[in-house]
Amino acid sequence: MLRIEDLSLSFGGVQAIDALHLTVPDGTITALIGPNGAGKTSVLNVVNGLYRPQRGCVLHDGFDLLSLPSYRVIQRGITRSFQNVALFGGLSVIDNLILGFDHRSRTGVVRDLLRTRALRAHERAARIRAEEVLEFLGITAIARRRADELAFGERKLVDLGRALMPRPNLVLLDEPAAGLVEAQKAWLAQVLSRIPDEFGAAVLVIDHDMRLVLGVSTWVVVMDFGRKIAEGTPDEVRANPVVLAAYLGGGPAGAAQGQ
Amino acid sequence: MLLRRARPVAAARAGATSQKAATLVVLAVALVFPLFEGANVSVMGIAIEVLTYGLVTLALNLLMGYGGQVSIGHGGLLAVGAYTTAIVATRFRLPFIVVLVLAGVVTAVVGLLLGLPAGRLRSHYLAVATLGFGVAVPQIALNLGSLTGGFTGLIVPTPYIGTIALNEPVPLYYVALGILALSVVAIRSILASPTGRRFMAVRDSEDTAPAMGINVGRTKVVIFTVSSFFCGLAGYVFALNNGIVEPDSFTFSLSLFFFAAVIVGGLASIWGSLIGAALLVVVQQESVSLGGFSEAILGAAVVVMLLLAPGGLAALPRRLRGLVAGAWRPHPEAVSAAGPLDQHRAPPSAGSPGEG
Repeated sequence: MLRIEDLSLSFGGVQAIDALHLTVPDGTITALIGPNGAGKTSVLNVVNGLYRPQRGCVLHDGFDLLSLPSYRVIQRGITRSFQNVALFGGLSVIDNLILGFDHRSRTGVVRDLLRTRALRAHERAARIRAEEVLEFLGITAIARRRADELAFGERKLVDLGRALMPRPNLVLLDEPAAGLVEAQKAWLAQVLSRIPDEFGAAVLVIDHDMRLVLGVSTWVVVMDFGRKIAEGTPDEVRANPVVLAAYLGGGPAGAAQGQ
Repeated sequence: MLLRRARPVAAARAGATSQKAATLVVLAVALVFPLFEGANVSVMGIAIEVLTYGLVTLALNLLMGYGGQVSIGHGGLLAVGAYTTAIVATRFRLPFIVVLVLAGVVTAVVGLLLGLPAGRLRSHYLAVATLGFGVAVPQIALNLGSLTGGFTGLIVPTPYIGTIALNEPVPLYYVALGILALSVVAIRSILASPTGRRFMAVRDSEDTAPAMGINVGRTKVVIFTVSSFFCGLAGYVFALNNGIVEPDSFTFSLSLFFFAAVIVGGLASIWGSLIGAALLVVVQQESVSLGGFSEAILGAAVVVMLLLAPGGLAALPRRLRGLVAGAWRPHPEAVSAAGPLDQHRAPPSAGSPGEG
């Protein structure tokens, strides 16, 4: 379980996150929504160790995540996708996926060079795992393509696939549906809703597509100007006037009116 | 439509086979070369230089093409390997293989130290840092006279395997060829391993690499260390081929040479590295009589390649095939419109939003 308590983050004078409390229970899909600039991506970046908050704590099964450098967060079983889908362009799709698994290999240069038994076992396990993930995402056909030759929709799925590789227990997804066409969004929704059952992972997802987000998630947290302005089940959030005001009014005045 | 989709795969497979065939042919030619030219000392010297510089270029390409870093000071690393060879060989009587490994290891350690600050710098800052290193090494050698022989340098004692003197052209040629071949095998092996994937991940996206558990700073240090190890091995051959190791052998233009060879040959290409180095060695030999112009030719070669053939010589066959084959490549947007759902039913190039 991920627990964020009293989290505050500012850049200079800009308050990106303001006293946020947020819980992601195991095996559920929690959505984090809000207008542009609400601080959603900043939350993922804090959990991921990319930003250091001024106040608050981030606990993963009771473990203080803020004590870890960014590159060690994955060792806790926490992975993420990226808004700008920065795949490793010069590598094949399958190698991009395997990179999501490579942190398990404790071998160094010399053992990699000598292709030790441990390394060969790692490569085999990584390949099998990659094939499972490719099949789960329905992109087996593009396994050998170079990542920078892929179409946008395919890149999004490969980015998601990287995050699923190490059998994570928490997946952070930053706008997985952005830029997709309707058919692709439908497929994505189907894939997302299967993640908790098939991978045993919880999901924290940010997206602007309300239909998708409210359709797959069990709990929705709404942010605006760095603060949590509402939370509840998808139905509750859909009916909440504060949320409507934040989206339609687009300012704190609008939100205040709603209250 | 099935044919259109099958084509890239088939082409890739044919490419792999023809590359294997080309490797065997080149290796065979390299093996029999001394039978024809073995008596010609100057030609053998140039051939050994091609193998030596080819290895340094390959090591630099590992750093630049696969690791995404930059160095215009790799001549300094070659110098460390050559000096290590000369210093160890003049003081101790050790088997040649021990001296060779020492040259590699000492240079790797120096590369690690160079990589520590370099791991924190990007692009042109890194270029300047490595340039400083490349310029400093011969100056340090000049001033550490008791160790390096100062201005006059060190004469490298002749190593023997049994009764064969290794600094004779033909034996040294085979030693150099063996070292290069093993290095190519080793580098290919690294590139296909987690270490190699980490190099390329850092090259392609430094920002997302940490989310995959990659320690970017550490990986950069490893890149420098591994690249330097192979430069050290090349330094061993360089020392024996020259017979003497002196500061004047490691001018800035030597570092420029390796940088140019990587660009001319093509980033992230093993073959490109070797072809680039071979071509530039020949160009330099032919332009010796032009004096200072040979550096200008190197610079011009880099500019011309960047303008006319980005990707270098290694990318030329593919570019030419692309020109001839024309328009089989699907337009990227078309694939996006069809979506992953349609992979099995329709080729992406034929997709349209309506089908999705």
